Amino acid sequence: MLYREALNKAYDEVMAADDTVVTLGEDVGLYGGSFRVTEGLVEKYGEKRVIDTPIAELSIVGNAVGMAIGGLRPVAELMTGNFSLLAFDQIINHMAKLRYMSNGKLTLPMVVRFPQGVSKQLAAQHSESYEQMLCAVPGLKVLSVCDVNYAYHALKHAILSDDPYIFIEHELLYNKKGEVDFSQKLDPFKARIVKEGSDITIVSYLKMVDDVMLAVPEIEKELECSCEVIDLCSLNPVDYKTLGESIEKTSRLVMVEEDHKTGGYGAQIVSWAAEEMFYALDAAPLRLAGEDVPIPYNRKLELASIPTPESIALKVIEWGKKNNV
Amino acid sequence: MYEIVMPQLSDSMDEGKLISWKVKEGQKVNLGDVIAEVESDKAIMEVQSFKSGVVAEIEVHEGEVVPVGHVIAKINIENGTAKTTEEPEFQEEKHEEKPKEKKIEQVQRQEEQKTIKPENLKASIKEVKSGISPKARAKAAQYGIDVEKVEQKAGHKVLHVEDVAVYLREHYFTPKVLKLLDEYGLDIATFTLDHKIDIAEVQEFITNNETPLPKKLSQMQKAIIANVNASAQKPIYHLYEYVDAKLFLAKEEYSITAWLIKIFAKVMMEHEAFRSRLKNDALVTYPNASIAIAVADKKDLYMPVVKDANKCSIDEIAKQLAGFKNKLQEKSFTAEDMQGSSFGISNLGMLGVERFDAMINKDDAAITAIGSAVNGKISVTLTADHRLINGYEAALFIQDVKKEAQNPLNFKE
Repeated sequence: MLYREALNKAYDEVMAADDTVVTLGEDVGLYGGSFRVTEGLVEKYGEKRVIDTPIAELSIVGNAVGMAIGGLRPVAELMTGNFSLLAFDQIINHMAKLRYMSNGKLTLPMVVRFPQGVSKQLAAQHSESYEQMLCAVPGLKVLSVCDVNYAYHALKHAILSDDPYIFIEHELLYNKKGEVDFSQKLDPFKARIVKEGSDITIVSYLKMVDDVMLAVPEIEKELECSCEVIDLCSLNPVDYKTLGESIEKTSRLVMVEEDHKTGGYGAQIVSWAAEEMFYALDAAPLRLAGEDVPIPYNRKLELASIPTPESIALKVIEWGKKNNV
Repeated sequence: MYEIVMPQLSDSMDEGKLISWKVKEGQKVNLGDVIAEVESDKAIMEVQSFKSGVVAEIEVHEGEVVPVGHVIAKINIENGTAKTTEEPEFQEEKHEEKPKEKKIEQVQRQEEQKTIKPENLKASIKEVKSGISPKARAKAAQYGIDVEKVEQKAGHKVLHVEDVAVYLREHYFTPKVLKLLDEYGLDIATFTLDHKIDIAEVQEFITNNETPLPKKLSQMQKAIIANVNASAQKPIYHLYEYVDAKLFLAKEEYSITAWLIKIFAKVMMEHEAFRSRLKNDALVTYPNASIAIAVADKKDLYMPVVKDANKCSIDEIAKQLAGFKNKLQEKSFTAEDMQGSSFGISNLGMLGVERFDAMINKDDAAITAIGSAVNGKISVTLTADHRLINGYEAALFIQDVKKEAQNPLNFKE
């Protein structure tokens, strides 16, 4: 099953089971979604539940907020992370805060789906990652999806939960193949240990997890060590328990992320490690992130601006050699 | 020569399928080029080359499944690296060297595949000149050790927890004592580190605590453990039956095992599920009946295979079994001896065990556990993999085995 098919299946099952679930966004209906995630839903559930909207992000999320207050379970799809900036007032001031402002009288069972990240040559205004901004907003739960199995379970969970969720997908992962264990009871807030190891904890999320996994054989060969790779899955709240147990074991932390390094999301993880795990660390943590530049259009520069499997391998190996791995 | 291996793409992945090659032998590749697509148990992913060079050998065919770590291609880096590393990253002239006939699209495609080696790589990781890691400092403090002494001993100025551990080991123990500790897998923290600990003290500890001496597992033991673990995951069930063995118990010149191989092989020819096994999501059915036989001494267990047993005479089967016994004594079994089965027989009857059930060998469909003869009857317990054989089929199989055991024609030889 493909990543996008897993999301589609989650949608389909939830919409079949609960007729308060609706979805809205640009091209989610007749066109089947920019990334084919909502394919076939309008035919099955009709235009009242699968709503094509104008290109107006503030109104997409604003309408979803209204629907959620009114008792529906809306899923708003934003075409790409950069466009969400137009909707940030609704996301931050309303979606995240209305329960608090109403002293709990309003609940907002809603999801904003958020495809983002460096794809292929979509340039500076269509390639960015915004988890660092979204995780800085109390009131939102922020999930990031790398794994196909997680995609299915986490989307179902997010739609059926009474909390407002930001559901981050990566634009290059939609055609990733994987298996879904439909019988599993998955906790979406638990980090996923992609690979166990004993010497270096490599933490990542979204597409970088797969890039890390491609770099790991080279790292393990060169450093003669074993790496533990963790997919954070939930970016807020963070499963610090799993991270802590891993760092206790390995004494070393590498954080790999695609967003810009300054102010980037991984700074939170490294800062937590410095505060809470200081005496467990046997090396300064290494943080690999995107360069502090607008994402270039030129393919070579674009790849140079973010971590890639080979740059991850080279940097971790160099860091490892300097840090007694 | 740089070897590219099947990558491990998920924790559960132990083998991967090569979907397609993106390069050919003799083709030049650059660092970061996608060379192949592989499929794990969970996903299809691209494999990149971590070095530049020329593809010397492609070792795995498209569609082939190989274990993680298996070499899939070899890159000759002598040809490639020197050139490519000297080239500026964005050099365009390179393409002019190519023969003019090459189509423009091809050139563009190659360009697309090339990724960039970050130029400021060396400067990006800070070189630490001196200092002690938090974990090392905490450990030194725990044992009240002067950090300067650790530094003197280590002979360098950046200290990690390993340096403190080495200091503790060498400060409180002699090499001889350390060797003893390592043999018994004892942590130095077992002892109060405030005086030099001699061999007598360690030996006293070992005696007082009856510390067992751990032995490393042999490759064979590891393989057996992996096999039985995999076997325990299978969806199995048992059928408990008795076979009337009077006809062949009388033929004492051949063992019960030999006769049973002959009978089972014959019946297997009528039940193709018992000649089948799962291989990479496909069902493979063998034309002949090959049976793995549990052969063991106190230490080792082997499952050598009587190949195409349906074609063998009782005499040939008996000779093969005798051969297995020799190989067990001489420890001369080869991997080839263990291959090709779909069914197994484990006989503990000669040791007086009346009835038991067995674990299925590797990828076989079923195994049967043979007990000792009691009043001319032998207990036969079938363990079957439900993915391959359903209960109805298994019951018919056992019925046929019982029938054939009483068919005098089978014991004429």
